[in-house]
Amino acid sequence: MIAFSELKKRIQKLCAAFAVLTGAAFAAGPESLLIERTLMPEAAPSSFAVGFPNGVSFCYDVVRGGVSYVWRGGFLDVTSVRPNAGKAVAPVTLLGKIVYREEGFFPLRAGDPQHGAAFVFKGYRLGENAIEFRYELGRCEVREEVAPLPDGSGLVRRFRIAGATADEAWWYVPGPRSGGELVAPRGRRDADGFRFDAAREFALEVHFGKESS
Amino acid sequence: MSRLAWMLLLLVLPLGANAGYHIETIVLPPELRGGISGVAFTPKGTLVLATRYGEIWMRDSDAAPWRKFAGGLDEPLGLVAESEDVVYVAHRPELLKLSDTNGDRRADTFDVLGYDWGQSNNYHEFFYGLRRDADGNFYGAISLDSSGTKEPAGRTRGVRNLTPAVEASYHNSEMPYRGWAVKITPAGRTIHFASGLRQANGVGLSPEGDLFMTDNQGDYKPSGGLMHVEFNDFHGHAESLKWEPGFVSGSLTPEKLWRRYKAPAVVFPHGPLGVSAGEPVWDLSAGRFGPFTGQTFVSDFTNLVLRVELQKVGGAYQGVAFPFLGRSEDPEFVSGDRLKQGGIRLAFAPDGSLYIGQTSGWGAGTMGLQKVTWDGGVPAEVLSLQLTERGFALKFTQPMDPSTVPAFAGQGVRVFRYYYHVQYGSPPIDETVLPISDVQLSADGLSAHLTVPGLKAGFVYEFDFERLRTLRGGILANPVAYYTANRLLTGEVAIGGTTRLPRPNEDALGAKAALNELAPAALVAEGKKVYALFCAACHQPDGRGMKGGAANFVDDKSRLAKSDEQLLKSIAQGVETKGMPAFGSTLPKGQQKAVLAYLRAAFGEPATAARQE
Repeated sequence: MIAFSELKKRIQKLCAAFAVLTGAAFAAGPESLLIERTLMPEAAPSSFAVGFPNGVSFCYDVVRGGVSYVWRGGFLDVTSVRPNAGKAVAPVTLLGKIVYREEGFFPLRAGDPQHGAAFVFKGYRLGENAIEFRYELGRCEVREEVAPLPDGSGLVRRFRIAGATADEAWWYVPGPRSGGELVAPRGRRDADGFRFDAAREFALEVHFGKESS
Repeated sequence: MSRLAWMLLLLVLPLGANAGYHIETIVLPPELRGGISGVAFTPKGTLVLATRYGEIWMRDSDAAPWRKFAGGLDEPLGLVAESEDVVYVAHRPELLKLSDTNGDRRADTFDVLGYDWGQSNNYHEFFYGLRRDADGNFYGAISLDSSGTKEPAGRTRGVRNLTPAVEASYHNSEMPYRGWAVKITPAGRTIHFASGLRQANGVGLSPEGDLFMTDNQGDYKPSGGLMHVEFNDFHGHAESLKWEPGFVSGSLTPEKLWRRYKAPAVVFPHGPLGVSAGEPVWDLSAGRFGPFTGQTFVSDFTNLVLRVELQKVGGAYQGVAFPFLGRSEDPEFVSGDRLKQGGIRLAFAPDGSLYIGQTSGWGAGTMGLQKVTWDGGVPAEVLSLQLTERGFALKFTQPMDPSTVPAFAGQGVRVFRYYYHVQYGSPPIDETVLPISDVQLSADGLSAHLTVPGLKAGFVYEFDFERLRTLRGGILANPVAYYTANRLLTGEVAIGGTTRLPRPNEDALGAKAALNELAPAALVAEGKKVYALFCAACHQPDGRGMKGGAANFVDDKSRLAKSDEQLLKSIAQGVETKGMPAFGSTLPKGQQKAVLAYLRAAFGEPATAARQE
């Protein structure tokens, strides 16, 4: 007997394969990742949709900066933005349920948790089961890798900073959130958010629980 | 090419043995879904395609399989293929550099090189491109918005400005720098260097390094055309000016705009020369694409490829445009497949063949890729048409019959210009016919000098070569040409190019509105032109159609016994079972009505009760 959760995963894989064939969504770069720059719901235009093989997908907003929400299930129905969709303006449809949401200004701050620098998107790099975003924050260049946690219970965001002074502290000051929990394995929580002292590399995990069976 | 060289070429070539050009539809794999929006070749000759599905595909040779280099982009509309490992792409939000850094033949690294323009969720916010000059600078065009955006302001890139620059228009510049030409330096600096663009869906660099763009008919754009785009130019559409440094709301008037307007170097009259021009490319094939080396080819969204010859007059570009492919579905000089609709991108291959990237999805069009090769036959064409001090100098690809010259010259030259106004396009206005007082055909029949008294700057000159014959008795493959005379060799320069402002109390209608106002006789005359351009190839000039295909209006009276509503629906939506394309987005409604009026007048029975229902 196949467990219901396993059956569900298999159906999701079949759906993903069908989606690739029909153009509902498709892989870019390493076949393990699904990528779309498109009109995402509740995000700036040309934001990212990134889907992992484990059925976890997230929206990365290239204007606000950062992960805006995470959903679980299928990937996207992109029919509304394809060439024969006509002149209608309609965001794509998420083929799953949102399990985490984060709003507000871009949360990464250098030196002063009350003041953030402008987020300027500079590019991305595709890896095996991970994507690395590159952006400028003031004088610093940040590389942020987003990958699924091995047990499927969340995402890990690994930040690498270039251009920061040696003793500078960094904060992750999250805005309003719902549906999950942020965990900083090597940071500490203070009144403003998560603090990382004199760190050039640090990680933040987004926990939203394992898929219910 | 010298005359001697031409005569030698004509002697060597098997004149008449070959058609001239062969069109081949490239079979694409199902996973490459079409919507071709970028065509380029790497220095090694690998064909690289961008698609409106956000993908980049490569094929190393004709025999090699297609492979996907990248995906997930946001509707790319142009590319520069540096190598099999590095491709630059213009997609909606950015100029991106795509690199394969690990040798697996797929892009893994995507670097943003330029992004300094606003963006909202408006579907019409495109980034057209792409060209790179010898210094490594990239050039592209930021389109206008088509209508009001709807998302909350927080979901945009940049701050929205909804106030019209001058007056309400159909296309708007709600987000920063929409309607501007951009230069993106190798260091990543975006320079907004020319304004006034509407939907400049074609960017090209001449062999001399001059930048050209095409734009389409619309508000402030009387007709389509090829623009020479230089620093600080204003190309007509007022909306973009709101982002110009020093802009003061309320400071501009239509006259101020018109006096600053840099009109197209070459006008493409709407209809005869297409409806939606795409990418311009230069034939640098040194004769491998036939006799037009050095000239410019431009795709159009209708099934049309244009040919342009540029001429510098008083230091400024202007010139002539001809139909090249597509104005007849089965001309004697074309073999192979039919030219498909939806052509927006062109690229010359290393072997001198011309590739056409086609897309559907903007109302009509077809998905696909076609390849045009020259088979050595020389079609009868006007090779060159240039302005002289007293008229025009022409060259032909085949010797012309001197006995047919009087009939041609007797028609004179029709001249017209357009309104410059916020209305959607302009009908031709101030039409007159200038006489051709003298034609000096060379002894070899390959060139001619026309004397046209009364030459004036600021007009489009329409040449009708239907009555001219080659020495062999043939007609020209494309017997029409349109010369744009913004300037004369005497130094006369027309402000506003081939436009003027509407006069006080003049009821200046846009192009579409003007069609709706035509009197019945004029409507039939307009419909006759439309029929000749878009219908006669299948339905035949005499209306007898094609057996098993296009309707025979003469012998099958049931065809036109249908109601106007039914027939207009067929024209607009096409008849899939008969292979009739949809003309709904190709022809304005006024032209659809005009062609129906012509069908009724030319082939139909008197009005029936059913028709009037």
